[in-house]
Amino acid sequence: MDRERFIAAVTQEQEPLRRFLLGLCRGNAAEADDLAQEAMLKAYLAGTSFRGQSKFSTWLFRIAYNCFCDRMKKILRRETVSLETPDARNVRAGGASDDGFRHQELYAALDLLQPPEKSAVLLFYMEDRPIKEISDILSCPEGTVKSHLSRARAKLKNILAP
Amino acid sequence: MNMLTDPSIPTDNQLKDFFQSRKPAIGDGRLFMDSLKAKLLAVEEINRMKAAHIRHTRKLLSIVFLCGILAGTLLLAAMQALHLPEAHNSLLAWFQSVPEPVKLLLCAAIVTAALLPSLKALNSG
Repeated sequence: MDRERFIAAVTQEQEPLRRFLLGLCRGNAAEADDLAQEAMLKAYLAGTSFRGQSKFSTWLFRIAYNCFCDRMKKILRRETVSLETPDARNVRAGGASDDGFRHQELYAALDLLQPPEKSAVLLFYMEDRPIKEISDILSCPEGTVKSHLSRARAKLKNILAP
Repeated sequence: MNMLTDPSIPTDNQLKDFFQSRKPAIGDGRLFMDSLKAKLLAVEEINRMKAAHIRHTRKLLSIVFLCGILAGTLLLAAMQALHLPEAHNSLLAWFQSVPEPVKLLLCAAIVTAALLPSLKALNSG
C-alpha cells in the first residue's frame, strides 16, 4: 500500500481509533494520540503483511490495542508513572461543566473495569463494533468477549443506578 | 441472584445510551494527520538511508574480498617469480596438509563471500 492510499485509509479510521485509545488511556489525549500514531506507523511499515483477511479498520485497531498492551506492560515493569494521573481523570473537565461531568462519569465507569473488559465495552457500546470484530481486535474467542461484556455489565450496575 | 434475572444489571441498550452520550471529544483531526504525514515521510527517509547504507557496505565488502583474493594471487605469483621456493613450498605444504573437505569448504566460502556481495550490489544498482 503506497503512502497516499494508506493516508486516505487511516484518515477515515483516525477518529474512532483515537476515541477508543482515549477511553483506554482514561482521557489522557496526548498519550492516546501518541499510541494512535505509533500504531499507524507500525501498520504502514507492516503494510505488506495486511492480506485483507479482515477489514483494514479491524487490523489497525488490533495493532493499536497491542501497542496499548505493550505500553501498559512497560509502565507496570517500571512501576513508576501510572496512566491514572490527575490530568487524566479531569481532562476537559475544566471546560463546559456538563461536558466535563459527563466525561468524568465515563472515566469513573471505565475505571471499574479490567483492561480487556474496558476494551470490549468501548468497542461494543461506544464504537458499535460487532462481537466477531472485537474478538479479532482483542485476539480472543467470541465467547471470551461475551464474558468480558457480561462481567462489565455487572460491574457497571452501580454507575447506572438511578 | 442470577445475573440474567437480576434487574439491577443494566441492559445493552442502557449501556449503549450511556457510552454513546458520553463519547469523549478528540483533538483536531487535521493536526493529527499532518503530524502523522510528517512522521511517515521521516520513516520513509530513514528507510531509504538504511537501504543506501546497506548497498554501500555490500559494495565495500565485495571490493575488500576481491582485493584480498587478488593480493593472495599476486603474492603467490611474486613468490614464484622471486624464486622463494621455501616460502612457496611451506605455504603449499600447509595447504596440502589441510584435509580435502576443509579445503573445498574454504574455497567455496571465499568464492561465495567474494561473489555474493558483488552480485547483490550489481543487482541493486
